[in-house]
Amino acid sequence: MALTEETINDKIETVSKGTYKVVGVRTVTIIKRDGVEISRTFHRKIILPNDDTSGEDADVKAICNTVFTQAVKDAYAAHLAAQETP
Amino acid sequence: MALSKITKADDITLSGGVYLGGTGAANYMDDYEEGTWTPTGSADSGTAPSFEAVAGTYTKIGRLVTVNASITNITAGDTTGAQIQVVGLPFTPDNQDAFGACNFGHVEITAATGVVAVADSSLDLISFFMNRTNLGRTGVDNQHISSGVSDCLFTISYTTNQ
Repeated sequence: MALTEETINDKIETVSKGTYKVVGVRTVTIIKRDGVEISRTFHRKIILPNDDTSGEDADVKAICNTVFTQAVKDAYAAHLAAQETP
Repeated sequence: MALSKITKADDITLSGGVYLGGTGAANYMDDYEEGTWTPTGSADSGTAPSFEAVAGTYTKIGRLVTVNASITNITAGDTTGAQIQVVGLPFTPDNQDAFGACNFGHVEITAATGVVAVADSSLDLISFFMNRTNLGRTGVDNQHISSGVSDCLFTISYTTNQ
């Protein structure tokens, strides 16, 4: 009997929040016994335009680099500047 | 003939969604998901608070996301008046803030009649507010934390368009 574990980012989504965008990432961990899936679990997070993406997986980093253009980063900075404490 | 009842002893898998109680967009549900997330410390100024151990789970039913978190041994950030915040949410809140229940342990909060967790849709994070007699809503800040000892539990539901 062989147990294997595989972890992949199976959803990398761009979500519009009006003037700026965020990236949602779903990471799935799949456990297989002799090649047959016996478990699948999800872990999620969102990434904001001003987040440090240097530690992200290559596929996530590539999407973030595409989505978080300087215009999006500038729009997010302007959005933050306009916020008040709720 | 209209189908009035489905009897099946095994799982049902739908490639699309399902309309419940009507056929409008408001009756359509196409998503259910459970998983984990990692609550991470943040602050509105100065260094972020750090957490020794965290656990976070979520359940998403349609647009509604419910997150649970357990955070232990909070080490305060370096700015006394900076508000304690939690980032790393599994889904981005839509344009409506939401309030939920929370409980802090080992904190120095006086004259507070309650503390609530807030899912801030503008900042994509959780912050905490206490109600104080004649003082209105006041943020939970680094100054209220017993550094290295305080802990926090919260549950909050919010909507998302993700």
